Amino acid sequence: MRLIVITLLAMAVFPAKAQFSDGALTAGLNILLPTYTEFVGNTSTGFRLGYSRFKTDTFGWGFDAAYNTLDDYVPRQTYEYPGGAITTDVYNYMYHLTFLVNGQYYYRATSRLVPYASLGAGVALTEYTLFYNVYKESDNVVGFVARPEAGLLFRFKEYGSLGLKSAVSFEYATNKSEAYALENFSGVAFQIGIVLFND
Amino acid sequence: MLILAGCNLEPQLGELVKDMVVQTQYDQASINTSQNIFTTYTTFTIREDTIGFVSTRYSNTYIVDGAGDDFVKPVSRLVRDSIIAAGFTKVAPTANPDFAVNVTVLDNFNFFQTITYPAFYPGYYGYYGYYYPFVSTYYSSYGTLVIEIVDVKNYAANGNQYKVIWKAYMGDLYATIDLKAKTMEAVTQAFKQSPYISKD
Repeated sequence: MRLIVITLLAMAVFPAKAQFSDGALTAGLNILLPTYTEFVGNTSTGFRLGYSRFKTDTFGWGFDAAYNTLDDYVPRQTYEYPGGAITTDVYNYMYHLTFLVNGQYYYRATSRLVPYASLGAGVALTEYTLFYNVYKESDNVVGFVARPEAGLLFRFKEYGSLGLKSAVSFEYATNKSEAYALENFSGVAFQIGIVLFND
Repeated sequence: MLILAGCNLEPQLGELVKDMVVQTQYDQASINTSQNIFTTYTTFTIREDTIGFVSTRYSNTYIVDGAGDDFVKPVSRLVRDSIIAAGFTKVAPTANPDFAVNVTVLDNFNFFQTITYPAFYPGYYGYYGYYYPFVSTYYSSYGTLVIEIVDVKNYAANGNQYKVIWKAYMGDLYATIDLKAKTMEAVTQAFKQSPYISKD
């Protein structure tokens, strides 16, 4: 968090205009692979929307929203607890929505190619849901989320408005669930999408 | 397409209801590591070929009325036979049974499911395993088969009350793909996960 604040302050101190663009709107698929797999282990394809503001040739800032539904299946088995037992199979679903602001560093950006690294922080809204037979129960959790990311913005034509984005990021969210004895969530995300540059 | 890629997905109902949920509860004062009240019992009673029906919304009793030969008889007889197989003798209600067995269908009936705690818990009679935490659940608008075992022998000792020492909940009866077969499986599972129901 402190690094992000420092980055944002640096951008304010060096307000020179970037050469490649003023900003970029991004939209694409967010493929999330959980590395914390206690509740869900399957890869999820969600979506992510974002905006980047290029303040200088090397620094910028942005914000984004991402949404993924992760799931997993636990085969039918018997669970013991004090005073009884329950037998069922369970579908675990994790509905995960994040809003982040980020500071961005551009490395050797050209007019058509913008490699970057960023560090984002924000809020994660997570709903953990168990489905078993026709029954359903949920636990809603709000937590802090941090996301370091490295990626590449590619512009089809110089001064053109259309491009592509690809990025890989690590996500860590403090969205532990006491109800289901779950720890903080973490995962690796791959993003691919389209970019609309505005000059 | 992007929006659809991550929208609120849910499992398919057909996959969800392929087997019933079976929950059993026992009275921990009567059944624990130092005693098992079932070893003090010999006889029981159960209503033959009858299943009770309790509804909070209407008097539709098609499960217990319309499907008598396909549901009521086989299910109630399986309950009876499971208890006989555990070493107990069925007697008439007037023959001073040690415990009674009630079989009921609850329709649209809310009840609180047991709160459990995330931990490894040494199960009774050798049932071990990671216990998955189930939080509070309210059954509503569903059909649930309930089996109760009531202590008759200790009626006076329990303050002139019939104490329920074991309960089993099985559902959902309405959404199941095969009412009779899946209910029979559920009843069998209820006794399987309650090995303390034994004369020995």
